[in-house]
Amino acid sequence: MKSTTNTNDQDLVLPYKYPWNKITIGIIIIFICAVIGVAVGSVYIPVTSVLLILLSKLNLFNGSIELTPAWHTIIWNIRFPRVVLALLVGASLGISGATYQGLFKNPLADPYLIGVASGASLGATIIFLSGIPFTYGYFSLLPIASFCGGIVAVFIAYLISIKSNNTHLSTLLLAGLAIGAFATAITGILMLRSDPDLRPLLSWLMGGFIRAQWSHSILIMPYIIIGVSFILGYSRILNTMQLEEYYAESLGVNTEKTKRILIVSATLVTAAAVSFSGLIGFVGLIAPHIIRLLWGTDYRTLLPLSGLMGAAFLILADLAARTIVSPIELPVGIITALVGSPFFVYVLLKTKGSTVDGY
Amino acid sequence: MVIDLQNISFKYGSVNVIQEITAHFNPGELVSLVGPNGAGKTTLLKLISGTLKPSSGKIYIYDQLSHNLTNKKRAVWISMVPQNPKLPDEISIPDFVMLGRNPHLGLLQWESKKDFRIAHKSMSLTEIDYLSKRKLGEISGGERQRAMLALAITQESPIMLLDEPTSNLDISHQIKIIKLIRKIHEQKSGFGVTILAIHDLNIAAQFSDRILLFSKGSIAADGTPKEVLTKNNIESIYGSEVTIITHPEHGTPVIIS
Amino acid sequence: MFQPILFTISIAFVLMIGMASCSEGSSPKQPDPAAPSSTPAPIKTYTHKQILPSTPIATLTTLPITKKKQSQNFPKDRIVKYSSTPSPLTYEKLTSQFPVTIIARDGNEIVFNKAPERIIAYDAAAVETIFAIGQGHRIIGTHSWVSYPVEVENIEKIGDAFNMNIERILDLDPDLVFLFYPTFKEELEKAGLKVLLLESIDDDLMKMANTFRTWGQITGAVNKAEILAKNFEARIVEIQLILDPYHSGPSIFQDVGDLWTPGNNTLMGNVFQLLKLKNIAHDVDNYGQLSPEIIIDRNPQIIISSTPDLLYQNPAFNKLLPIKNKSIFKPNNDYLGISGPRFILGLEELANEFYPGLFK
Repeated sequence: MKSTTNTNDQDLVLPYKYPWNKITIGIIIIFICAVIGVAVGSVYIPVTSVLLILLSKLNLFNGSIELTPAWHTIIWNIRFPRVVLALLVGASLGISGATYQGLFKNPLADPYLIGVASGASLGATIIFLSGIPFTYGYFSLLPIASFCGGIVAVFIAYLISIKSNNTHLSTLLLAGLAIGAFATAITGILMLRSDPDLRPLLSWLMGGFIRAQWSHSILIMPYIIIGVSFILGYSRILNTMQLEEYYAESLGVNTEKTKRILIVSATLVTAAAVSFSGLIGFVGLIAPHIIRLLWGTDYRTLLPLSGLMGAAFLILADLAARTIVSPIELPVGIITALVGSPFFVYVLLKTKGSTVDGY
Repeated sequence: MVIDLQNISFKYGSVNVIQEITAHFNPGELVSLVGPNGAGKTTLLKLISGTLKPSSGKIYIYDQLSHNLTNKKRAVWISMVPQNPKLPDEISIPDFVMLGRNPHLGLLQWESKKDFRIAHKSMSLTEIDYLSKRKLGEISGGERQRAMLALAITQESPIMLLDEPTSNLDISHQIKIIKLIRKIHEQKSGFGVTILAIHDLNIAAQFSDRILLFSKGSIAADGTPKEVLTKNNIESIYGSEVTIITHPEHGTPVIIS
Repeated sequence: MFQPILFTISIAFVLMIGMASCSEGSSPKQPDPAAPSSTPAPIKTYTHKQILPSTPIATLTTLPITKKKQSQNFPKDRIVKYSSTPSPLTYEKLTSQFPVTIIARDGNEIVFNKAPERIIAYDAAAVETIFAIGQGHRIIGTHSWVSYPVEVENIEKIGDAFNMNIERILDLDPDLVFLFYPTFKEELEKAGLKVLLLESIDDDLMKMANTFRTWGQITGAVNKAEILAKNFEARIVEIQLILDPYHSGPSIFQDVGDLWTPGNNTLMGNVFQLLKLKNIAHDVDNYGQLSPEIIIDRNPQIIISSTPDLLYQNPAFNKLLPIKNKSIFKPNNDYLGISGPRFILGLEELANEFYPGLFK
């Protein structure tokens, strides 16, 4: 009798184990993607030279072999900061996408599709055009302005989706679409009314990493760390939030507080991602969904792995954006949209029968 | 007293759903709330569970004003099995049952082996261990009902509220579930309170210690099944003629219409 | 769902086109007093005001120009025909002859029985050209980005360069609507208006002269247009002659915003070719956003940008010569942005800038 209970105990419900092995594999994959991202580009640089440049940066190698300074600049000041920024932005969008999906119980909630990203970019545009100097050493007003814009947008989308008293999938998306279009329109008006000399500043709205610099990654890092820490801290609670609100409350969850913290955190992370790389859609949709298909909906697994997935995806998307039509570049948003929109349709069809509640 | 309802009313818009109810629930009681649809059974459960706040009156749980309890503390004391909630399809049954441990865990604390054993035990108790590889979207209504019950058991709270736990079930499953609820109630060895809203008078009669008969938002009768389920009471509240006989084995009243 | 993407793409397009091929600025610029007003640029060349800083930005000592080995023999006839001081340019007196047939961009023939009296010229270059040949009074409408010559202030603006109030156009009852891109062509034609869209001149600089002549034919001011065209051609040829002994000049990168750059089949690409500047985007068709690492790899010796600060601030570029020397060339005017009569001034400004010893 006792032995059967024991075997059952192991067969049935194994204690939750943090997916360290999957995370490790994810980190290795990202590392490989990053290496490819640094090694490949529109200018051919032999892999050995890439390695030597990196080793010399790590003080592991004192360059006795001559390296052309151009290569050094390309590797260290262009490709590397770019890969790092793509990694951070991809991770941010993946994690915030998964968070929004959990909060809104909507598998299609992507920071871009629910209008948060557009709101954030409007916030950033206002700062850009106001003429206020926005960078002070390693502090920048840009992510904060983006955050303000993003939080207003998400708040409105959320209000619309609950006021309309309609829990169907499309309400939030339509609300997000309307808000996104509105924010984009305002951005357009501001732009047309602006000083023509400032307009080139705004081309980052297109989304992309062509201007990536080391300082960008450093500037957005604190916000991402803070936001992601909160999100991961609440990952187990987010599981209970998948139930109807009153049910979650009967399990001891303070749903209002949880929602507030998670929306603010996810928006902070999105805003940080948007503030230097512009609007990049679908990463927050693709990454969590693939992870969900592979390893289920436990947010403790889903959130970190979505981040890793998003990072790997965006590094590769950016690699494609800068090499496919070399010597010129495509905006990375075009690549993610190319991959993302079929995916969107797939998810939409798959969840068509059930409403949000089924998710 | 485990639960003490003092003069509570609840208005939904201008409709008085609950009108000045006063009732006490004592340790060890399994109480059924019966009455016609819309009489206020479910609303009363929601008021006790804290999902709804009374428009007036006071609710005490273990002598503490319910209003002042945190969600967490309330969840340690009260578990609830709602009626037909919308559940996320993608969650596996063990993960779902495990959610019942939430009130006992801190924010950054995750389930320990002990928590898993508790969840497993409630899954065996409700006989859903064979579902451990399935997801909520893939199981039948009866299995869902048992999974929710397992979740509530996993919560290990002295008070358990169940809203129509037998709805949508065929007769054999109805009896099974009720027997299970009775069993769980008895395992709390005399200090637990189980309150269920149920429309089937015969099941209520057979398995409850006490029955509250609701009519238009107030309690029409309160007592043992025998005291409450009288021909008079039922005919005046339900408005249809019935015959009442005594169950040959249990000695409880059986209503025949 | 994807409308925001389209929108952002169109924003980039506006940026690109806006900076490359039409008059900039929702705020009208003060007309440059030194620039010729509604009359054609003076025939004496290289007398335009030195608008640039007196110290040359790129000097010959730093920028290599390879001289051709056997290049001292200029073809005599060309020298005779277009000497650098051609006191009154010779041309045959022309008389305007209506009806005039103009070949439009789509190959269709458009016939003018008489000069149009009410022209809506939706293009900065056309407005400038028409004024330059003394026919500005015929223009009754244009778009709000057109700011030259000063007389434009009194001309009604029917939307900006990319948006058009078609109802207002119908209201104005023009007898010719000139466009520089085809978006609204069909709609206007359906409304019964005469719409003209000329052949693109992006592939050949010299076609600009023909555009001037075309306006002369349309408005009847053939002689003034011929002077304008001949003057343009002469000054181009002069540049060609002066640069003829040389093989190739320095390499160049023009940033029209966020590393968008003109490549082949662009007017600027042709300008670079004329000036024997090696465009590092020689393998780009039309406009494209050049990969930063390509820019570093191709190491341009000259950079043109109207927003040099963005390039100075990017540490990735700090090893490029023009950035190290803080010598990115920022054109002081928008001459090269409008393919009208003042275009040649912008061209000469560049020539003077990058070959300071050669053009006096």
